[in-house]
Amino acid sequence: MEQLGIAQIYEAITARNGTLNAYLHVVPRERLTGGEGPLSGVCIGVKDNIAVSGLPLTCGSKFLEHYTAPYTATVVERLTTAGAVVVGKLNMDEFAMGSANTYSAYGPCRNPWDITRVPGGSSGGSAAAVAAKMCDVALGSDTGGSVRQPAAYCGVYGYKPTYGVLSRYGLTAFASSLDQIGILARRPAHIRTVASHAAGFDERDATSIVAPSFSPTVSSLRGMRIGVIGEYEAKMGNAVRDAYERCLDTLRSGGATIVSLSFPEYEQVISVYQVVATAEASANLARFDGIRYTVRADAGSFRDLIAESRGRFFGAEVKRRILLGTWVLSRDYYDSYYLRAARVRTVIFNRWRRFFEECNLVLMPVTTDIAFRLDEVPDPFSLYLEDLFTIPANLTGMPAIAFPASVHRRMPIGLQIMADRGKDALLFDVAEWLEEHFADFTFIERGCSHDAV
Amino acid sequence: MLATVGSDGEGRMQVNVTHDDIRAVYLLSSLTGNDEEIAAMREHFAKMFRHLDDLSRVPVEGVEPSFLLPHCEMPLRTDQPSVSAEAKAIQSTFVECAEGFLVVPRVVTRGEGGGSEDGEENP
Repeated sequence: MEQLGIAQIYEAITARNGTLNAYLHVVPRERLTGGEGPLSGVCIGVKDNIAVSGLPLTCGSKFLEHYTAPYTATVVERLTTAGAVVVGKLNMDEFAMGSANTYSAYGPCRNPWDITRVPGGSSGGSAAAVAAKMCDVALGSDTGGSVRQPAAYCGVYGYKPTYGVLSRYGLTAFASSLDQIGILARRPAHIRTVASHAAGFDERDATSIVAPSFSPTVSSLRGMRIGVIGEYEAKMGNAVRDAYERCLDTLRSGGATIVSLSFPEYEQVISVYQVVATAEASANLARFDGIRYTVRADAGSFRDLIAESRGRFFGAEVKRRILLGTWVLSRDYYDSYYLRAARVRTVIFNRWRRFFEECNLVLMPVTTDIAFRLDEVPDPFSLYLEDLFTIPANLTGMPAIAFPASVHRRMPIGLQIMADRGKDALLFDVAEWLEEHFADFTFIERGCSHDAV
Repeated sequence: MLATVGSDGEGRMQVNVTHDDIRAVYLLSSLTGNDEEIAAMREHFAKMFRHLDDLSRVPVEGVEPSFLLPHCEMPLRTDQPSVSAEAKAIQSTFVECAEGFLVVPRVVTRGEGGGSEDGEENP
């Protein structure tokens, strides 16, 4: 696959990282260890919640400020074995909880297209680094859209695989039934190549599955059925709707048939996600207790030490989610919230299964509008509502890829396509077809050699 | 007990969030928080629970809950216990067994050899 080259990437990091704050840790060039193999020379940036032995693993949190990973995540291990080089660790919202990268304990990351705007989150550093050519490919994690939303805001591709395709071993757990490592790049073919080396069954992840083939399955759209969800149309801003409609026209002109779908539970995805993700997070983050992982608050008793450490070193958003998770799992709320959300999740899953009996792919927006300004980040509750279009792929374990679709007010707009479980290769086929045939794609190469950086 | 979950008469859930509820959840979560933080959380959770009420709009009678992903086909592992490297290191120090007994080093007695390096006989 095409690469920028290590020298060019380090030049970009030196020139831009001070402004963008995309990397939290850069591996000194003289310490890079590159192997031989099909990915030889490919420079990857790794989100700072994915373990790389010997490198910091902060998860964007003060809680892990001095922590160094003692082992390497399976996905990273497979890529480096294939010859890829880890350049550094990328900024993120604390413990992957956020949509703007403003909840990082190490300062916000900025959007390379306009540094007064957010890059999205929680994999904001990953998207910004790819867009600003500070790496060839980046790894992120996607629990509710955290790869696809920043990819859309930064004008790059962001892939969330079928649940289980990429091992979660070495990914710091947030919500285990939703978490997936994802891949961001400037071209869909690069994601396909990297995914084919990173994927595969892993004994060390109990939810790992035998990966599907990533080889191309179709070369044209003739006979393909693309679903569109009526309920989403009213939720898109004008610029996004315009890009969406032009994309549909392009797909039609390529021979695809457009199929109308109805998703009556489309609004409940946010409630299901909020209940399920926070419940799982409250359990997963119980391990951060002030006893392990390097930081500890002073306190009189053992119990106070734990509460004080957690109260002091967790940020406000992480606390909000732990509290809600604890709440919905408590005895009096379990049935009304957690159990009910788990049932609604089944309804949503069945709905999407039926969608894919009627069509091959579903075209969807990723966000309602372009990236918001850093000084206009909505309140936490309103930010949750922004995940409306990205959550279904996580609740159902289905794959999706966000792709750059248009530019509005000098900012990129992304759309996404979603497929049935195991149909990841089809996503790449269509993303590559769109790269060739969808007119606005020329802006990617101009991308973020942009004046703003 | 935390705030009660009530109903608005149309089957929708309603939660009245109080300062004490928030304090209780902080305690359950092993978190500390000052009054200002707790007041902000109270406002946030009141909004959250109003929103979460929309879960009751989806009919779920007879629907099985999904705690993991439904219909996920995950390959089963072989029924073989795996031993970690650390456990292997510990096991390598275990004494051996033979014929139902632990094998212990034979005690060397006077007259059987076993002189010390300087040639003197052991006591």
